[in-house]
Amino acid sequence: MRAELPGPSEAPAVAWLGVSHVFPMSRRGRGRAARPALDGVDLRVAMGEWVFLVGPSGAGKTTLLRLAYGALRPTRGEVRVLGEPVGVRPIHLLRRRLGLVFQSFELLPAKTALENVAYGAEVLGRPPGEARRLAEAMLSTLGLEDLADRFPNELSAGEQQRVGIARALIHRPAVVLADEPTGNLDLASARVVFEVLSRIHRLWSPAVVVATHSRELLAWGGHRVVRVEGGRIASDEGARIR
Amino acid sequence: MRRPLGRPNLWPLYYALRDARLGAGRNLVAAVSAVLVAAFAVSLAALVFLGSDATRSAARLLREQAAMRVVLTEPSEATSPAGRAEAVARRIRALPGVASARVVPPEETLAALEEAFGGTVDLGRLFPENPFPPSVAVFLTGPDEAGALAARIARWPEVDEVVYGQKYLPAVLGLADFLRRAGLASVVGFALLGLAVTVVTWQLAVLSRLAEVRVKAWMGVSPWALAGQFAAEGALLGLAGGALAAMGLVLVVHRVELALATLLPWPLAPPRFGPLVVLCLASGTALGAAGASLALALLARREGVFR
Repeated sequence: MRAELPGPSEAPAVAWLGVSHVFPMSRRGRGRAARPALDGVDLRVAMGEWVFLVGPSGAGKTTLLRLAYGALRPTRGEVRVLGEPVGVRPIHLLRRRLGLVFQSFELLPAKTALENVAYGAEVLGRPPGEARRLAEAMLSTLGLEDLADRFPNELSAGEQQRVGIARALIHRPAVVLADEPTGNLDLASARVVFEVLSRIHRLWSPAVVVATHSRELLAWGGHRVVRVEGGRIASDEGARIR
Repeated sequence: MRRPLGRPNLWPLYYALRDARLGAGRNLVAAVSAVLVAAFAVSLAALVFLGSDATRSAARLLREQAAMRVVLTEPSEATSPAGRAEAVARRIRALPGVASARVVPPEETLAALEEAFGGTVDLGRLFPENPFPPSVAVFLTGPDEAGALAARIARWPEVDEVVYGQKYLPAVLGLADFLRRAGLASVVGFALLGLAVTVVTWQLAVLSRLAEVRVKAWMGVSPWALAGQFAAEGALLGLAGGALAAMGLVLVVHRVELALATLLPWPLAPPRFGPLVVLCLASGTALGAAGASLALALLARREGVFR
């Protein structure tokens, strides 16, 4: 199930190499000098590494992630995911090798938790029986089997996010990119969501990059913390590779 | 993970069709609206097509008309109406280019008129004394001399009016020409209007399924596959709308044809149902597919689905 990994172990899972990004000005804003969202960022995340991206709103955390999953193209520099430059191949092919987790859960309201998770496998073309087995295994692995028959409106926000994570990662991607996955949750629910992500990290060691505002969660797990400010890396604590 | 060569994975197609069915079922109002919008737009466009086709056929029929009706003036007290009509018929038969001429008695004219009203009006009771004068039905050897013959007969003192199809030809040709020119503009206009309404209708349908669209985009479904799924859904609902329009139009055209057959004295060319049905189905399908995929593209852009 695991996405194919590049051969050499030293190839980072995700690498931002001298990346700058300037958003194009809207029509109304033309004439003003554009402020770069990212300015010459160099950041490498190793295979199996867990990295927190922290910083104030507008610092560039989300832009870094969006560049990694191909939603944006860098104005300067290069982004590589699993050794491959982003943007060379069609983006949807890249995304099949990634697990994307967002603040919004986007569970399908007419499907149960199990069906929602299976839907992730169905979208990738798995036969219905196999998709269901994978979903059951995933829910069981994450300790969510009790929620299997519940519909989204019967789940709490934290439970919905955990089901959303199970669906996003059902194909066991080698890289997980999470953008404020606990942004809608209270601290207790956020902790549970992080436990789910941690369990996944322990199980098949994907590289995990989490952009978050939640200071309380940073110390938890002893992971690498990269602070982004004004579009630059302000600090990088606990990196395995630089 | 990889499938053996030569065995295409058809599960995405199965899921796309399943999602289309479920999506249409859950958004029944939007689905029914999409069908009705397609049916309405296709009907309008097809009516212009039919109108243009019918006037062209009518012009052709009129041009080929080799028959005329000579209506006589009121006879004086002294002369017998029937005898005078027979005398006129004899004179007409002697003219070059005339194949036959037959006196039509007033009773026959009244009966024909009653039939034209579908038997709903008792003209015998309405007109106790038949007001119609005798007339002469003339059949020519060909349509070319109709105008000259009609003009010649119209000058006879016993003749009140000569009615013949070619008399109306300039007006019908003018109408046909107008419909041909206006028809193209109308069809383009109706197509654009239909497309705009279809896009708006489909935006509602897509909007209610944005979570599904987002999940697919995040999981690595290509924009083309997503557009294809909605285009297929739109095509199916558009096809249903086209079929609805075709059924309605065939019914209407059939009724109009029946009514015209009793009103007009010459045989009508049978309406071209085949092209009409094909036009309705094809344009409904195209309208639905284009509307749905355009709606998805616009919404995906606005909502940043692939960003």
